[in-house]
Amino acid sequence: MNVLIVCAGNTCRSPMAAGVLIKVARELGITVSVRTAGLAHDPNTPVAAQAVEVMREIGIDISHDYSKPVTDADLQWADIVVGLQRSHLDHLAEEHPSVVGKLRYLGHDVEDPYLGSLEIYRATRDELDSAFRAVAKTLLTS
Amino acid sequence: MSEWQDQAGRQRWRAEYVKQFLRRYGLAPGSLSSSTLKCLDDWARQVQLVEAQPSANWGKVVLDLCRAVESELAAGLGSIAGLEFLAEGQALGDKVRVLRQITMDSSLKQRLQARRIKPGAVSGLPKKLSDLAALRRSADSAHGGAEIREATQTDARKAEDLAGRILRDLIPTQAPGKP
Repeated sequence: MNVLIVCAGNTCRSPMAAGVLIKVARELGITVSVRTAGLAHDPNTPVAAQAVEVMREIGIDISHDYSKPVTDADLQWADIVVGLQRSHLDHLAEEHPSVVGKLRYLGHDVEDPYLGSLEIYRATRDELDSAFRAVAKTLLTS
Repeated sequence: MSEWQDQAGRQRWRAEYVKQFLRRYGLAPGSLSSSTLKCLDDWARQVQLVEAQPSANWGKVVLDLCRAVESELAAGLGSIAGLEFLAEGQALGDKVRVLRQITMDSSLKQRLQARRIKPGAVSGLPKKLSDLAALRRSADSAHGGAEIREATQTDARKAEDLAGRILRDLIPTQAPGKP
């Protein structure tokens, strides 16, 4: 299954979410390909150092990711598109009505940890981990 | 309808956001062209997307405000003889350059006054437009212009104030005797 995860800046939440989702899917024996993108990104910005560090703590390397726009090609490629805030999904639904059927919400907004402390990033990581563990089976087999 | 969708609610929020913005500058939505209102709706939609997200780039917020101003320039001043270039497709910075070279002679003053636009407001436009253009940091790129260079919420606030003041200058004053 191809999964596109979107947030605003594509430097914190979506790269962390991708790392977590790949890990959770692997544990469940589900094969996924994951891409990330930002709806309001600064071009080619590397993943926030705090995000890289807290993901490294759980054995996941996301240092290779960087900020990219959401493209039509990404949306076509994806079987599902996960928005980390309701506003991301609303925006996508308005801009790309043809993909509404692919849009998935985790059930709550994941707040932007940007410029926060490592503790805040850890909390975001753990929140993403819990959220994906709760929905992964449904999400990835729907 | 998915659990997260509330399109009507979002549209109401945007309409109110635009209305409040215009009210701060003594304007009403009905005084602007429909294309300008569309640009302002796009602006509000972008604000909806990026607000309370410090990692977001506010570049498109600034860009949408510039588009609103350009739209109103084209619909208003751009329909006045001698200022038609404002309705053409040049970049905002180029329009400012031409506007600076315009001589405010008596016939142009009369044409502006006939449309209830203050000539003094037009004379002050190049500086404000130039400041706005400086905040517009869009970049063409391999993504066909999809990449918007970094702008902060502070840039967006400055652009909002400039756009509000410019739009106020562009809107005809009320006719004498009208409430």
